[in-house]
Amino acid sequence: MPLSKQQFSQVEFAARLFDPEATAPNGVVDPNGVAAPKRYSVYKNNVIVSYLEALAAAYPACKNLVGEDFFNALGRAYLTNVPPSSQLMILFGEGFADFVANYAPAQKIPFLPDIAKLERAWRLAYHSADIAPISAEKLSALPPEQLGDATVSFLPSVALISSPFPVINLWAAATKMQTLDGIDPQNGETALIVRPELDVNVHNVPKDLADPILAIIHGETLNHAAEIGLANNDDFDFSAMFSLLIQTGAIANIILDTKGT
Amino acid sequence: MSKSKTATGLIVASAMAAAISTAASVAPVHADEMAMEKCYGVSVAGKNDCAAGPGTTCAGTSKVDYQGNAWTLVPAGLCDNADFWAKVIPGDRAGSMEALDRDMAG
Amino acid sequence: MIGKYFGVGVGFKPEHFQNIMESQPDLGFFEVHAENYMGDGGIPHRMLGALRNQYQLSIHGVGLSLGTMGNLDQNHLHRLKSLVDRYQPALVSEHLAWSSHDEAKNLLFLNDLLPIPYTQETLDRVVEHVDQTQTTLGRQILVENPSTYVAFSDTQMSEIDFITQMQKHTGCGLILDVNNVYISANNQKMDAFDYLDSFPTHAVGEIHLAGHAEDVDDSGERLLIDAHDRKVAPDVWSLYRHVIQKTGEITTLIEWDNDVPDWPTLYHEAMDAKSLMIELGADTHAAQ
Repeated sequence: MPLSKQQFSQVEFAARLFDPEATAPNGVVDPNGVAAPKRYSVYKNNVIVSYLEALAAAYPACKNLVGEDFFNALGRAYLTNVPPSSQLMILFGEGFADFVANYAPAQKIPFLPDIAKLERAWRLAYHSADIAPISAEKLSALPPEQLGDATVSFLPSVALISSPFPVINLWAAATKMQTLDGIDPQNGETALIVRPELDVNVHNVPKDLADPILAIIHGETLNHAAEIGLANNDDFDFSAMFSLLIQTGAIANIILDTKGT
Repeated sequence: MSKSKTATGLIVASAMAAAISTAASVAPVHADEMAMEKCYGVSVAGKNDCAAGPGTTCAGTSKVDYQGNAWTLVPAGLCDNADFWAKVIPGDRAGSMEALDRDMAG
Repeated sequence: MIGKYFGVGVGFKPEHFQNIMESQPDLGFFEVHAENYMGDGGIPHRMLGALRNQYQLSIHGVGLSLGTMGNLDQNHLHRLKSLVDRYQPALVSEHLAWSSHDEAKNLLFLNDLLPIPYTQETLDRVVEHVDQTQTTLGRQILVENPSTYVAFSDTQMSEIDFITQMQKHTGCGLILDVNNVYISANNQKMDAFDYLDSFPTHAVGEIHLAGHAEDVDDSGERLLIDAHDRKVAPDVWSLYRHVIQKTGEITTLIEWDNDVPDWPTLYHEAMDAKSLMIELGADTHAAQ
């Protein structure tokens, strides 16, 4: 289908919105037919500012950590590199952590991508589907001898973020605008994000559980996860890990291996 | 428990039974009524609306504003904290690059 | 015939949820922006469900981009359909504007209600998109008159002619946003009362009222911005009075999206609209 004249002008109208140097497209005028760059800039302002505000709403801890000027500069670069492609502003900010990780000026703050990952997981969990955690009755009815070969389905809100930095403490302090004094930057943390009902919970999970939990999330059997846990740590406690997953409400269902072994 | 291959395969039924009973005892109880209370006072981030932005014709779109180059900017938020960064230094990029250079030279 | 009367309502804001549940305000409906409830679950749907149990809903889309010269995003249209099917709102509406276009299959969303030139070509496109939307949803939608800051040199017809023809060709209903009329009249040098007198009010299913901000344009002239960040201006109340005198009761909404006030302030605005309709003998439900 050949581009019509109007189609072209919408593309042009849109492209110029993100270009700081661009003036109004041809044919965009005031009621007297005179070119009206300032009037056009109302739209530029609406688009850019609304996106920067949405980014700040999605990543408040990141913003508090780096300050408004740095965050907005980061936001403009993000908008240019990752053009917004969804109508759902509630989920705006996809790929921001990856962008930050690769954005040279942000290398000054090495933990920023992990904070962004945590905030993104929180946002996705907040809007995720309402699935109830597995019930105590259902758990009790499981045949123990088949549990080793079972796999697990998680609530759609579940995410695990393992960081060499104290990602939970930094996130918590930054969200509440509290000082970073007293946080040891060398102290890595693993965050398990779960929304069992309406509230999103962020759990600080013992470091040695990160690998086995990640294995289960990736569809490995419980036996295999236990092997991974034991390979990392002789004192790995399977029961403790399993209880943690149940207690946080992370597990939606246990799927027994029906093929038999 | 030993770390040997045979042992790792042996998350035996008795251990699984214990895991299940412990887990069942800590499983969260659902209470939809209670959950409704939590709706109160929860603020929602990013949203669509049909109003114009908060600014005026020049807010956020002036050239000066665009030239806010992140390269020249120093993080000025909570990150601007000397005590905190003092503890980051041992593992920072410059330090590890130096160590790498030495290794390669040796 | 004017659409069914659902009384006076306000735009729902989550921060007002507790006040609303506790005070059970005497309102006919709440309006929400469709896209804010297109997540899968959680608190937003819990709140909307609770509201729906006690009030009529109006679902007001801001992201469908009826005015795009490209194609309607079918994914988005189907998200809207799911939401409408789930909550069975009294009213479903969108804007005479565009906010996205598909460029080589990549959707670019601009998060604003952008203006279109009024030409036969854009009219054909909008008519096609309104038809598609109504067919997919299986119901009539209302389309809202825009607030605009620029004009286009290739515009061929007046906004009124455009809206009148769009309505005629699609059988859609209309939202008459009186604040938008006031803003556009100022920004486009039209007479707001003339605009209202020639508007196809027979198709209006809902009126919107909101506050606006003031700025200046390239030549230093007054430029009004559709900010929804304050009380409805006295001039806009006058225009509203003019409409209601002519037409009688029309479902009316107070919109307040930025610098959202406390609940009593917002409710008071809604009650002012209701009082005005009662004063003019238009609110036949007032005695209920």
